[in-house]
Amino acid sequence: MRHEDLLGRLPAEMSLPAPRKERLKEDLMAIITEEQAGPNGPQPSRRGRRPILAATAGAVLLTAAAAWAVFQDPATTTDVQCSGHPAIDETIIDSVSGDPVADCATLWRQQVGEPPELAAYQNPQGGVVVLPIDQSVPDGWMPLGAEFRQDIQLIELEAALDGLGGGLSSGCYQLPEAQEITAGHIERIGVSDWTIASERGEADGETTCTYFYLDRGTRRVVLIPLEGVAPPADAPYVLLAERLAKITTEACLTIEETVQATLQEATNLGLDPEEPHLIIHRVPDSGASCSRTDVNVGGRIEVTVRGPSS
Amino acid sequence: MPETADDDDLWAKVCDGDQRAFGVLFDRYADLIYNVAFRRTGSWDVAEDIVATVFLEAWRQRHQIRIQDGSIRPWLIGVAVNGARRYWRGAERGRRASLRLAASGRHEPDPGGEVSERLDAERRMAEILVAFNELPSKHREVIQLWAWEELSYEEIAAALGIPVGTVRSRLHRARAHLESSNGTGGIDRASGDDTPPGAARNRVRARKEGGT
Repeated sequence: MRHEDLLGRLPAEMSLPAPRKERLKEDLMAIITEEQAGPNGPQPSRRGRRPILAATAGAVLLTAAAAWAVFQDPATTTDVQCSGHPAIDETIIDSVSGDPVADCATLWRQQVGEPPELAAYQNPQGGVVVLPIDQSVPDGWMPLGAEFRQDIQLIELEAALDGLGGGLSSGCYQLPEAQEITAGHIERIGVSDWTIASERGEADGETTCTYFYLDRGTRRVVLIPLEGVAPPADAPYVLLAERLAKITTEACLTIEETVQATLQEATNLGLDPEEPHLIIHRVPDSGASCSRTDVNVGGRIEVTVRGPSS
Repeated sequence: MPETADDDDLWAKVCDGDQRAFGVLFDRYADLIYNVAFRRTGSWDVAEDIVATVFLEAWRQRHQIRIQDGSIRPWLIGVAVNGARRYWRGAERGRRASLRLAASGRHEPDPGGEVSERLDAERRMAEILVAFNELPSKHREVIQLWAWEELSYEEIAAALGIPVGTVRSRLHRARAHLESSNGTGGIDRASGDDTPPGAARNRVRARKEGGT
Protein backbone atom coordinates (compact mmCIF):
# COMPACT_ATOMS: atom_id res chain seq x y z
CA MET A 1 0.00 0.00 0.00
CA ARG A 2 1.37 3.39 -0.93
CA HIS A 3 1.82 5.79 1.92
CA GLU A 4 -0.43 8.38 0.43
CA ASP A 5 -3.07 5.69 0.84
CA LEU A 6 -2.14 5.18 4.47
CA LEU A 7 -2.83 8.75 5.41
CA GLY A 8 -4.90 10.21 2.66
CA ARG A 9 -7.37 7.58 1.47
CA LEU A 10 -9.21 6.72 4.59
CA PRO A 11 -12.68 5.30 4.49
CA ALA A 12 -15.16 8.17 4.53
CA GLU A 13 -16.31 9.36 7.90
CA MET A 14 -19.64 7.97 9.02
CA SER A 15 -22.07 9.07 11.67
CA LEU A 16 -23.27 6.93 14.50
CA PRO A 17 -26.61 5.55 13.29
CA ALA A 18 -29.23 7.93 14.70
CA PRO A 19 -31.14 5.37 16.80
CA ARG A 20 -27.90 4.09 18.35
CA LYS A 21 -26.66 7.58 19.03
CA GLU A 22 -29.91 8.47 20.77
CA ARG A 23 -29.82 5.27 22.79
CA LEU A 24 -26.20 5.83 23.75
CA LYS A 25 -26.98 9.35 24.91
CA GLU A 26 -29.94 8.12 26.95
CA ASP A 27 -27.80 5.47 28.62
CA LEU A 28 -25.06 7.97 29.41
CA MET A 29 -27.54 10.40 30.90
CA ALA A 30 -29.07 7.60 32.96
CA ILE A 31 -25.67 6.69 34.38
CA ILE A 32 -24.86 10.32 35.08
CA THR A 33 -28.18 10.85 36.82
CA GLU A 34 -27.57 7.73 38.85
CA GLU A 35 -24.09 8.91 39.85
CA GLN A 36 -25.31 12.39 40.74
CA ALA A 37 -28.10 10.97 42.88
CA GLY A 38 -25.64 8.81 44.82
CA PRO A 39 -26.29 5.38 46.28
CA ASN A 40 -29.53 6.47 47.99
CA GLY A 41 -31.06 8.28 45.03
CA PRO A 42 -33.68 6.97 42.61
CA GLN A 43 -32.31 4.17 40.45
CA PRO A 44 -33.17 4.38 36.75
CA SER A 45 -34.09 1.21 34.95
CA ARG A 46 -31.16 -0.79 33.61
CA ARG A 47 -33.40 -2.93 31.46
CA GLY A 48 -32.06 -3.22 27.97
CA ARG A 49 -29.11 -0.97 28.60
CA ARG A 50 -26.10 -1.82 26.50
CA PRO A 51 -23.07 -2.74 28.62
CA ILE A 52 -21.45 0.61 28.11
CA LEU A 53 -17.96 -0.16 29.31
CA ALA A 54 -17.49 -3.44 27.50
CA ALA A 55 -15.07 -2.05 24.96
CA THR A 56 -13.95 -5.45 23.81
CA ALA A 57 -16.35 -6.34 21.03
CA GLY A 58 -15.17 -7.14 17.54
CA ALA A 59 -11.56 -7.31 16.59
CA VAL A 60 -9.03 -6.67 13.91
CA LEU A 61 -5.58 -7.99 14.48
CA LEU A 62 -2.41 -6.16 13.76
CA THR A 63 0.42 -8.36 12.61
CA ALA A 64 3.36 -8.81 14.93
CA ALA A 65 5.44 -5.72 15.47
CA ALA A 66 8.37 -5.20 13.18
CA ALA A 67 11.45 -7.05 14.34
CA TRP A 68 13.42 -3.92 15.03
CA ALA A 69 10.97 -3.03 17.75
CA VAL A 70 10.98 -6.34 19.54
CA PHE A 71 14.52 -6.71 20.77
CA GLN A 72 14.96 -3.41 22.53
CA ASP A 73 16.44 -3.43 25.98
CA PRO A 74 13.60 -2.34 28.29
CA ALA A 75 16.13 -0.70 30.62
CA THR A 76 16.81 1.92 27.95
CA THR A 77 13.15 2.93 27.60
CA THR A 78 12.19 6.30 29.02
CA ASP A 79 8.44 5.98 29.30
CA VAL A 80 5.95 3.55 30.80
CA GLN A 81 2.37 2.62 30.04
CA CYS A 82 0.19 2.40 33.14
CA SER A 83 -2.87 0.18 32.85
CA GLY A 84 -5.47 -1.63 34.86
CA HIS A 85 -8.14 0.89 35.82
CA PRO A 86 -10.61 2.90 33.70
CA ALA A 87 -9.32 6.17 35.17
CA ILE A 88 -5.72 5.21 34.41
CA ASP A 89 -6.78 4.34 30.90
CA GLU A 90 -3.58 3.01 29.32
CA THR A 91 -1.83 6.30 29.93
CA ILE A 92 1.77 6.50 28.72
CA ILE A 93 3.83 8.70 31.02
CA ASP A 94 7.42 9.86 30.90
CA SER A 95 9.43 7.81 33.36
CA VAL A 96 10.65 9.78 36.34
CA SER A 97 12.30 7.62 38.98
CA GLY A 98 13.59 4.66 36.97
CA ASP A 99 11.17 2.36 38.79
CA PRO A 100 8.17 1.99 36.46
CA VAL A 101 6.03 0.46 39.20
CA ALA A 102 6.66 3.45 41.45
CA ASP A 103 5.96 5.90 38.63
CA CYS A 104 2.64 4.23 37.81
CA ALA A 105 1.77 4.03 41.52
CA THR A 106 2.15 7.82 41.61
CA LEU A 107 -0.25 8.12 38.70
CA TRP A 108 -2.73 5.83 40.50
CA ARG A 109 -2.57 8.04 43.58
CA GLN A 110 -3.20 11.12 41.46
CA GLN A 111 -6.07 9.63 39.47
CA VAL A 112 -7.64 6.88 41.55
CA GLY A 113 -6.24 6.43 45.05
CA GLU A 114 -3.95 3.91 46.66
CA PRO A 115 -2.93 1.37 43.98
CA PRO A 116 -3.15 -2.39 44.24
CA GLU A 117 0.08 -4.36 44.02
CA LEU A 118 1.59 -3.62 40.62
CA ALA A 119 4.08 -5.40 38.37
CA ALA A 120 6.06 -4.37 35.29
CA TYR A 121 6.14 -6.26 31.97
CA GLN A 122 7.76 -5.85 28.59
CA ASN A 123 5.22 -6.05 25.79
CA PRO A 124 6.02 -7.53 22.37
CA GLN A 125 6.69 -4.05 20.99
CA GLY A 126 9.52 -3.52 23.49
CA GLY A 127 7.55 -1.13 25.72
CA VAL A 128 7.29 -1.26 29.49
CA VAL A 129 3.76 -1.70 30.85
CA VAL A 130 2.66 -1.79 34.49
CA LEU A 131 -0.45 -3.73 35.54
CA PRO A 132 -2.03 -4.85 38.82
CA ILE A 133 -0.61 -8.28 39.58
CA ASP A 134 -4.08 -9.84 39.73
CA GLN A 135 -4.86 -8.95 36.12
CA SER A 136 -4.30 -11.43 33.34
CA VAL A 137 -1.31 -10.78 31.12
CA PRO A 138 -1.55 -10.94 27.32
CA ASP A 139 0.40 -13.59 25.45
CA GLY A 140 3.95 -12.57 24.70
CA TRP A 141 4.40 -10.22 27.63
CA MET A 142 7.46 -10.85 29.78
CA PRO A 143 7.58 -10.08 33.51
CA LEU A 144 10.42 -7.71 34.34
CA GLY A 145 10.70 -8.46 38.06
CA ALA A 146 10.57 -6.21 41.08
CA GLU A 147 14.22 -5.22 40.73
CA PHE A 148 13.87 -3.98 37.18
CA ARG A 149 14.89 -0.38 36.68
CA GLN A 150 14.97 1.91 33.67
CA ASP A 151 18.18 3.85 33.10
CA ILE A 152 17.76 6.92 35.32
CA GLN A 153 20.46 8.81 33.43
CA LEU A 154 18.65 8.42 30.12
CA ILE A 155 15.41 9.48 31.76
CA GLU A 156 17.08 12.63 33.06
CA LEU A 157 18.81 13.28 29.74
CA GLU A 158 15.50 13.18 27.89
CA ALA A 159 13.75 15.35 30.49
CA ALA A 160 16.59 17.86 30.48
CA LEU A 161 16.71 18.11 26.68
CA ASP A 162 12.92 18.48 26.59
CA GLY A 163 12.95 20.96 29.44
CA LEU A 164 11.90 24.58 29.32
CA GLY A 165 14.65 25.65 31.70
CA GLY A 166 17.85 25.07 29.77
CA GLY A 167 16.70 22.35 27.38
CA LEU A 168 15.99 22.53 23.67
CA SER A 169 12.39 23.51 24.43
CA SER A 170 13.54 26.65 26.22
CA GLY A 171 13.96 28.53 22.95
CA CYS A 172 14.34 28.17 19.23
CA TYR A 173 17.89 27.05 18.58
CA GLN A 174 19.92 26.63 15.43
CA LEU A 175 21.84 23.39 15.12
CA PRO A 176 25.20 24.63 16.51
CA GLU A 177 23.54 26.06 19.61
CA ALA A 178 21.51 22.88 20.04
CA GLN A 179 24.68 20.80 19.80
CA GLU A 180 26.26 22.89 22.51
CA ILE A 181 23.24 22.60 24.80
CA THR A 182 23.06 18.85 24.23
CA ALA A 183 26.77 18.35 24.89
CA GLY A 184 26.38 20.25 28.15
CA HIS A 185 23.60 17.97 29.36
CA ILE A 186 25.45 14.82 28.29
CA GLU A 187 28.48 15.89 30.29
CA ARG A 188 26.50 17.04 33.33
CA ILE A 189 24.45 13.85 33.53
CA GLY A 190 27.48 11.67 32.92
CA VAL A 191 26.39 9.64 29.90
CA SER A 192 29.74 10.10 28.22
CA ASP A 193 29.26 7.18 25.82
CA TRP A 194 26.39 9.03 24.15
CA THR A 195 27.24 11.05 21.05
CA ILE A 196 25.43 13.72 19.09
CA ALA A 197 24.25 13.31 15.53
CA SER A 198 21.91 15.28 13.31
CA GLU A 199 19.36 14.53 10.63
CA ARG A 200 18.25 16.70 7.80
CA GLY A 201 14.89 18.13 8.77
CA GLU A 202 12.28 20.15 6.94
CA ALA A 203 13.36 23.56 8.13
CA ASP A 204 12.57 26.51 5.91
CA GLY A 205 15.57 28.51 7.09
CA GLU A 206 13.36 31.23 8.49
CA THR A 207 11.94 29.74 11.65
CA THR A 208 14.24 26.83 12.29
CA CYS A 209 14.23 25.28 15.73
CA THR A 210 16.11 22.14 16.61
CA TYR A 211 14.32 19.16 18.14
CA PHE A 212 15.72 15.81 19.18
CA TYR A 213 15.18 12.16 19.87
CA LEU A 214 17.22 9.56 21.69
CA ASP A 215 18.43 6.74 19.44
CA ARG A 216 18.78 4.06 22.06
CA GLY A 217 20.25 1.49 19.69
CA THR A 218 23.25 3.60 18.74
CA ARG A 219 23.31 5.71 21.93
CA ARG A 220 23.05 8.97 20.07
CA VAL A 221 21.08 12.12 20.64
CA VAL A 222 19.81 12.91 17.16
CA LEU A 223 19.10 16.57 16.49
CA ILE A 224 16.65 17.61 13.78
CA PRO A 225 16.20 21.17 12.53
CA LEU A 226 12.51 21.68 11.86
CA GLU A 227 10.15 24.52 11.30
CA GLY A 228 9.05 25.76 14.66
CA VAL A 229 8.46 28.58 17.05
CA ALA A 230 10.07 29.52 20.32
CA PRO A 231 7.90 29.10 23.39
CA PRO A 232 6.20 32.37 24.35
CA ALA A 233 8.73 34.11 26.58
CA ASP A 234 6.04 35.52 28.85
CA ALA A 235 4.12 32.28 29.39
CA PRO A 236 3.91 31.53 33.13
CA TYR A 237 5.33 28.03 32.70
CA VAL A 238 8.35 29.39 30.81
CA LEU A 239 8.92 31.96 33.53
CA LEU A 240 8.56 29.24 36.16
CA ALA A 241 11.24 27.16 34.46
CA GLU A 242 13.59 30.15 34.23
CA ARG A 243 13.09 31.11 37.86
CA LEU A 244 13.65 27.58 39.10
CA ALA A 245 16.81 27.29 37.04
CA LYS A 246 18.05 30.53 38.58
CA ILE A 247 17.10 29.54 42.12
CA THR A 248 18.79 26.16 41.94
CA THR A 249 21.90 27.68 40.39
CA GLU A 250 22.25 30.36 43.03
CA ALA A 251 21.48 28.23 46.09
CA CYS A 252 22.16 24.66 47.12
CA LEU A 253 18.77 23.29 48.13
CA THR A 254 17.35 19.95 49.22
CA ILE A 255 14.44 18.41 47.35
CA GLU A 256 11.86 19.70 49.81
CA GLU A 257 13.32 23.20 49.81
CA THR A 258 13.14 23.18 46.02
CA VAL A 259 9.55 21.92 46.10
CA GLN A 260 8.58 24.76 48.43
CA ALA A 261 10.31 27.25 46.14
CA THR A 262 8.42 25.77 43.18
CA LEU A 263 5.06 26.14 44.90
CA GLN A 264 5.86 29.70 45.89
CA GLU A 265 7.02 30.71 42.41
CA ALA A 266 4.02 29.03 40.78
CA THR A 267 1.69 30.96 43.05
CA ASN A 268 3.54 34.21 42.36
CA LEU A 269 3.09 33.63 38.62
CA GLY A 270 -0.64 33.05 38.98
CA LEU A 271 -0.44 29.32 38.29
CA ASP A 272 -2.66 26.89 40.13
CA PRO A 273 -0.16 25.06 42.36
CA GLU A 274 -2.52 22.14 42.97
CA GLU A 275 -2.59 18.83 41.13
CA PRO A 276 -3.52 18.06 38.42
CA HIS A 277 -2.52 21.50 37.08
CA LEU A 278 0.97 21.37 38.53
CA ILE A 279 2.62 18.02 39.16
CA ILE A 280 5.83 17.93 41.17
CA HIS A 281 7.96 14.77 41.07
CA ARG A 282 10.57 14.18 43.76
CA VAL A 283 13.50 11.96 42.73
CA PRO A 284 16.06 11.42 45.50
CA ASP A 285 19.65 11.42 44.29
CA SER A 286 21.93 10.54 47.17
CA GLY A 287 25.02 11.31 45.09
CA ALA A 288 24.03 14.93 44.54
CA SER A 289 24.76 17.73 46.98
CA CYS A 290 22.21 20.20 45.52
CA SER A 291 18.86 19.89 43.74
CA ARG A 292 18.15 20.52 40.09
CA THR A 293 14.85 20.83 38.21
CA ASP A 294 13.35 20.02 34.83
CA VAL A 295 10.09 21.67 33.77
CA ASN A 296 8.03 20.10 31.01
CA VAL A 297 4.64 21.02 29.62
CA GLY A 298 2.29 18.69 27.82
CA GLY A 299 -1.26 19.62 28.69
CA ARG A 300 -0.14 20.23 32.27
CA ILE A 301 2.99 21.49 33.97
CA GLU A 302 5.34 18.88 35.42
CA VAL A 303 8.32 19.80 37.53
CA THR A 304 10.84 17.09 38.35
CA VAL A 305 13.12 17.82 41.27
CA ARG A 306 16.22 15.64 41.60
CA GLY A 307 18.66 15.96 44.45
CA PRO A 308 19.44 15.20 48.08
CA SER A 309 16.59 14.40 50.45
CA SER A 310 18.22 16.32 53.26
CA MET B 1 -29.33 25.37 25.99
CA PRO B 2 -28.06 27.03 22.78
CA GLU B 3 -26.37 24.48 20.57
CA THR B 4 -24.00 27.16 19.29
CA ALA B 5 -22.57 27.93 22.74
CA ASP B 6 -18.77 27.73 23.04
CA ASP B 7 -17.17 24.69 24.59
CA ASP B 8 -15.83 26.93 27.35
CA ASP B 9 -19.30 28.08 28.35
CA LEU B 10 -20.77 24.62 28.08
CA TRP B 11 -17.94 23.07 30.07
CA ALA B 12 -18.37 25.61 32.87
CA LYS B 13 -22.00 24.48 33.09
CA VAL B 14 -20.98 20.81 32.97
CA CYS B 15 -18.66 21.44 35.92
CA ASP B 16 -21.70 22.73 37.79
CA GLY B 17 -23.48 19.45 37.03
CA ASP B 18 -25.55 20.62 34.07
CA GLN B 19 -26.52 17.50 32.12
CA ARG B 20 -28.13 19.42 29.27
CA ALA B 21 -24.85 21.19 28.57
CA PHE B 22 -23.14 17.81 28.57
CA GLY B 23 -25.76 16.57 26.11
CA VAL B 24 -24.96 19.43 23.74
CA LEU B 25 -21.27 18.49 23.84
CA PHE B 26 -22.18 14.86 23.24
CA ASP B 27 -24.20 15.83 20.16
CA ARG B 28 -21.33 18.02 18.98
CA TYR B 29 -18.51 15.51 19.30
CA ALA B 30 -19.94 11.98 19.38
CA ASP B 31 -19.50 11.46 15.64
CA LEU B 32 -15.96 12.85 15.71
CA ILE B 33 -14.95 10.47 18.50
CA TYR B 34 -16.75 7.62 16.72
CA ASN B 35 -14.53 8.13 13.67
CA VAL B 36 -11.34 8.69 15.70
CA ALA B 37 -11.97 5.38 17.46
CA PHE B 38 -12.86 3.57 14.25
CA ARG B 39 -9.65 4.72 12.58
CA ARG B 40 -7.63 3.17 15.39
CA THR B 41 -9.53 -0.07 15.89
CA GLY B 42 -11.07 -0.82 12.49
CA SER B 43 -14.36 -1.76 14.12
CA TRP B 44 -17.52 0.34 14.20
CA ASP B 45 -18.81 -1.68 17.17
CA VAL B 46 -15.69 -1.04 19.21
CA ALA B 47 -15.78 2.59 18.15
CA GLU B 48 -19.29 2.88 19.55
CA ASP B 49 -18.15 1.47 22.87
CA ILE B 50 -15.21 3.87 22.94
CA VAL B 51 -17.58 6.81 22.37
CA ALA B 52 -19.46 5.72 25.47
CA THR B 53 -16.35 5.37 27.61
CA VAL B 54 -14.91 8.70 26.43
CA PHE B 55 -18.00 10.67 27.38
CA LEU B 56 -18.49 8.84 30.64
CA GLU B 57 -14.87 9.57 31.53
CA ALA B 58 -15.33 13.21 30.50
CA TRP B 59 -18.24 13.52 32.91
CA ARG B 60 -16.40 11.82 35.74
CA GLN B 61 -13.25 13.89 35.27
CA ARG B 62 -15.04 17.16 34.54
CA HIS B 63 -13.39 18.95 37.44
CA GLN B 64 -9.89 17.90 36.37
CA ILE B 65 -10.13 18.71 32.67
CA ARG B 66 -8.53 21.86 31.34
CA ILE B 67 -9.99 23.19 28.11
CA GLN B 68 -7.31 23.66 25.43
CA ASP B 69 -7.70 26.89 23.46
CA GLY B 70 -11.43 27.00 24.06
CA SER B 71 -12.15 23.46 22.85
CA ILE B 72 -12.70 20.16 24.63
CA ARG B 73 -11.89 18.38 21.36
CA PRO B 74 -8.20 17.55 21.99
CA TRP B 75 -8.96 16.09 25.39
CA LEU B 76 -11.78 13.91 24.04
CA ILE B 77 -9.57 12.69 21.19
CA GLY B 78 -6.77 11.88 23.64
CA VAL B 79 -9.10 9.74 25.72
CA ALA B 80 -10.33 8.00 22.57
CA VAL B 81 -6.72 7.20 21.63
CA ASN B 82 -6.21 5.75 25.11
CA GLY B 83 -9.40 3.73 24.65
CA ALA B 84 -7.99 2.30 21.44
CA ARG B 85 -4.78 1.33 23.27
CA ARG B 86 -6.85 -0.49 25.86
CA TYR B 87 -8.74 -2.24 23.11
CA TRP B 88 -5.53 -3.50 21.53
CA ARG B 89 -4.20 -4.73 24.85
CA GLY B 90 -7.39 -6.74 25.29
CA ALA B 91 -7.26 -7.83 21.67
CA GLU B 92 -3.75 -9.25 22.15
CA ARG B 93 -5.17 -11.82 24.54
CA GLY B 94 -7.34 -13.33 21.89
CA ARG B 95 -5.20 -12.67 18.89
CA ARG B 96 -5.48 -16.03 17.20
CA ALA B 97 -9.23 -16.39 17.63
CA SER B 98 -9.91 -12.84 16.59
CA LEU B 99 -7.76 -12.76 13.49
CA ARG B 100 -9.31 -10.51 10.95
CA LEU B 101 -12.92 -10.85 12.03
CA ALA B 102 -13.68 -7.60 10.32
CA ALA B 103 -12.11 -8.67 7.07
CA SER B 104 -13.99 -11.97 7.18
CA GLY B 105 -17.30 -10.15 7.06
CA ARG B 106 -18.70 -11.49 10.33
CA HIS B 107 -20.40 -8.45 11.71
CA GLU B 108 -23.63 -7.62 13.42
CA PRO B 109 -25.93 -5.72 11.07
CA ASP B 110 -26.70 -2.21 12.20
CA PRO B 111 -30.30 -1.10 12.24
CA GLY B 112 -29.62 2.07 10.27
CA GLY B 113 -28.65 0.17 7.12
CA GLU B 114 -25.42 1.01 5.25
CA VAL B 115 -24.21 -2.44 6.19
CA SER B 116 -22.16 -3.02 3.12
CA GLU B 117 -20.61 0.43 3.25
CA ARG B 118 -19.61 -0.12 6.86
CA LEU B 119 -18.20 -3.55 6.13
CA ASP B 120 -16.21 -2.18 3.25
CA ALA B 121 -14.86 0.59 5.48
CA GLU B 122 -13.81 -1.98 8.08
CA ARG B 123 -11.95 -4.05 5.49
CA ARG B 124 -10.12 -1.02 4.16
CA MET B 125 -9.34 0.22 7.64
CA ALA B 126 -7.94 -3.20 8.60
CA GLU B 127 -5.49 -2.99 5.70
CA ILE B 128 -4.42 0.51 6.66
CA LEU B 129 -3.92 -0.44 10.31
CA VAL B 130 -1.81 -3.46 9.41
CA ALA B 131 0.42 -1.25 7.25
CA PHE B 132 0.73 1.29 10.06
CA ASN B 133 1.99 -1.35 12.43
CA GLU B 134 5.53 -0.87 11.17
CA LEU B 135 5.68 2.29 13.29
CA PRO B 136 6.16 2.36 17.07
CA SER B 137 2.82 3.20 18.67
CA LYS B 138 3.91 6.58 19.98
CA HIS B 139 4.97 7.70 16.51
CA ARG B 140 1.87 6.18 14.97
CA GLU B 141 -0.42 8.06 17.34
CA VAL B 142 1.21 11.40 16.60
CA ILE B 143 1.10 11.07 12.82
CA GLN B 144 -2.49 9.82 12.90
CA LEU B 145 -3.64 12.78 15.00
CA TRP B 146 -1.77 15.13 12.71
CA ALA B 147 -2.89 13.63 9.42
CA TRP B 148 -6.35 12.28 10.16
CA GLU B 149 -7.74 14.59 12.81
CA GLU B 150 -5.63 17.53 11.60
CA LEU B 151 -4.74 18.60 15.11
CA SER B 152 -2.12 21.30 15.56
CA TYR B 153 1.13 20.40 17.30
CA GLU B 154 -0.15 22.08 20.45
CA GLU B 155 -3.40 20.12 20.32
CA ILE B 156 -1.54 16.84 19.82
CA ALA B 157 0.65 17.71 22.81
CA ALA B 158 -2.44 18.29 24.90
CA ALA B 159 -4.19 15.16 23.63
CA LEU B 160 -1.24 12.87 24.38
CA GLY B 161 0.22 14.77 27.34
CA ILE B 162 3.65 15.21 25.78
CA PRO B 163 5.77 18.31 25.07
CA VAL B 164 5.31 20.08 21.74
CA GLY B 165 8.95 19.44 20.86
CA THR B 166 8.36 15.73 21.29
CA VAL B 167 5.34 15.96 18.97
CA ARG B 168 7.51 17.58 16.32
CA SER B 169 10.34 15.08 16.53
CA ARG B 170 7.99 12.06 16.58
CA LEU B 171 6.07 13.39 13.60
CA HIS B 172 9.28 13.96 11.70
CA ARG B 173 10.48 10.44 12.43
CA ALA B 174 7.14 8.87 11.54
CA ARG B 175 6.98 10.69 8.22
CA ALA B 176 10.59 9.89 7.42
CA HIS B 177 10.04 6.23 8.26
CA LEU B 178 6.93 5.92 6.12
CA GLU B 179 8.48 7.77 3.21
CA SER B 180 11.74 5.84 3.25
CA SER B 181 10.25 2.38 3.55
CA ASN B 182 8.93 2.33 0.01
CA GLY B 183 10.14 5.55 -1.51
CA THR B 184 6.81 7.20 -2.10
CA GLY B 185 6.12 10.89 -1.98
CA GLY B 186 5.18 13.16 0.88
CA ILE B 187 2.80 12.27 3.66
CA ASP B 188 -0.15 14.59 3.68
CA ARG B 189 -3.19 15.21 5.74
CA ALA B 190 -6.50 13.57 4.93
CA SER B 191 -7.81 16.83 3.51
CA GLY B 192 -4.98 17.02 1.02
CA ASP B 193 -3.38 20.06 2.66
CA ASP B 194 0.25 19.63 1.64
CA THR B 195 1.70 22.37 3.83
CA PRO B 196 0.63 21.33 7.30
CA PRO B 197 3.75 22.27 9.25
CA GLY B 198 3.56 25.80 7.95
CA ALA B 199 -0.15 25.93 8.53
CA ALA B 200 0.31 24.70 12.06
CA ARG B 201 3.07 27.21 12.58
CA ASN B 202 0.84 29.98 11.37
CA ARG B 203 -1.90 28.91 13.73
CA VAL B 204 0.58 29.13 16.55
CA ARG B 205 1.61 32.56 15.39
CA ALA B 206 -2.00 33.68 15.17
CA ARG B 207 -2.64 32.48 18.70
CA LYS B 208 0.48 34.11 19.98
CA GLU B 209 -0.38 37.39 18.32
CA GLY B 210 -3.87 37.08 19.72
CA GLY B 211 -2.41 36.91 23.18
CA THR B 212 -3.45 33.34 23.97
